[in-house]
Amino acid sequence: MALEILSKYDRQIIFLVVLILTFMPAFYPIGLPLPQYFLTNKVYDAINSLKPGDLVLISFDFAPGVWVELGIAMKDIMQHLFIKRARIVIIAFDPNGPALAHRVLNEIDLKGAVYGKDYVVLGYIPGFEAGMAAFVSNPKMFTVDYYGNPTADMPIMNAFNTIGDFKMYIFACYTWVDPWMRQFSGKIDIIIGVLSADIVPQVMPYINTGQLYSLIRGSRGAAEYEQLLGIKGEATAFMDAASLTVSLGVILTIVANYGYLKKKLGGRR
Amino acid sequence: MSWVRRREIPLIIFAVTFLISLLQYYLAVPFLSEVNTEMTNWVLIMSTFALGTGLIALCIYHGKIIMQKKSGYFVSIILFISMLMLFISYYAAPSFADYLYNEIYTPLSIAIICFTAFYNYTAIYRAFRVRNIDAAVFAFAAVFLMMLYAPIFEVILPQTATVANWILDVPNMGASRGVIIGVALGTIAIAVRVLLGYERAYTG
Repeated sequence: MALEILSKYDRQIIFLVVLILTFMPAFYPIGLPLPQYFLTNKVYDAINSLKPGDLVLISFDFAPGVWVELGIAMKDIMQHLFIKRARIVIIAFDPNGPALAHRVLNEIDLKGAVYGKDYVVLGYIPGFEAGMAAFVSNPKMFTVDYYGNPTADMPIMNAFNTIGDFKMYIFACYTWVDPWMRQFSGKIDIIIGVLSADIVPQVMPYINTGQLYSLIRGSRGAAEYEQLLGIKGEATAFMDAASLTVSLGVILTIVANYGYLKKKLGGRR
Repeated sequence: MSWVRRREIPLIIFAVTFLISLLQYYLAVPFLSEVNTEMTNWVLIMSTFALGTGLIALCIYHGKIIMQKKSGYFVSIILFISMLMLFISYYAAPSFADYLYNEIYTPLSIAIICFTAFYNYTAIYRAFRVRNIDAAVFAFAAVFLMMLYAPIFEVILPQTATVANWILDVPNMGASRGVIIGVALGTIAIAVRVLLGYERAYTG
């Protein structure tokens, strides 16, 4: 009977249950422990080993729609970089990137870092992979930053001449990472990807070869990173909802197959 | 046929630029590197122009819809209003532009992505039925990878993470490597075909 009702009104019932499971943890937090993934630890250790003044290149290459997956992780990572007093150069190969970087900078504690000296937002580079190639061949291509200030007077712009002067490159994207690998691999020692969970399977060969040093896998990775930083941030709050909704996915798979097999075997009889 | 319309011209341009880019990668010749850097800058300039032409095309398309009062033309009006508001506020009131971007555009974009979650769960119910061996393998891998992103399973049953990581590191790794190598070989084959003039679709 229950299976028949579910089969008839599956969409309505599932929509309602997903909605309830998403909102429920906001009122009744479960607060489950979060096991750490070794690649998240690797990212944390790499950033933790940075010395004050080390140059880090960051590119924001995603749209606002995946903010929950990537934006929160970028906030946590950038917070760590500012704690370590690294010098940060921010670029973007997506037109939305500079605005998202601006948002992250507004929402984190900059630890007294000075714009133009300790960090800079250079802005969007058009042409996607061609833009990457152009930046790699000449990282000083920007004459003005995202806010329209001339870059020539900025001390941070004198800290690098070639792409090899950057100690680390962190990029956040939700598409296949091939263009980043093609253009940056071998030119910067440590390359870290902040990636949406759905593309992690495609990226594993690059982790295995060492071309991609490590990665953060979406909001789960961000929650793990928050745990390493000792903060309870937005990503940690999402984990309860993730646990419940994914449990629904597993239950639905079991129910669907139970109903299907029951119907199939019943038909044979 | 006029010489400017000759098919050989785009092929020659492609061949020359392709060879310069290719050779500068393998040969340490400063002249080739300089030419390649300059060419890459041209690509950036052209890409920036493409953004401009995209904006013009968008305005023409939606302008026509409004002029002809086609169904849903009010959506095109909203597009123009929001575009102008964002454009003007970036120069006149940057904090208002931040507000528009962070508090309106970003939540709307997230909401659109979130809608798919509801349909994904319906799709799980409808599609993950083990009708044959292929479907069984697909459902098995999908369920374990779903579990990997929800801490509850790893806490209750740590073996789920072991299985999911094995799927990622062994069968997935092999298949992904195959895809990467296949794409690379395909790209080389297409490049050679274009270079030899067999592939002319890009000339229009």
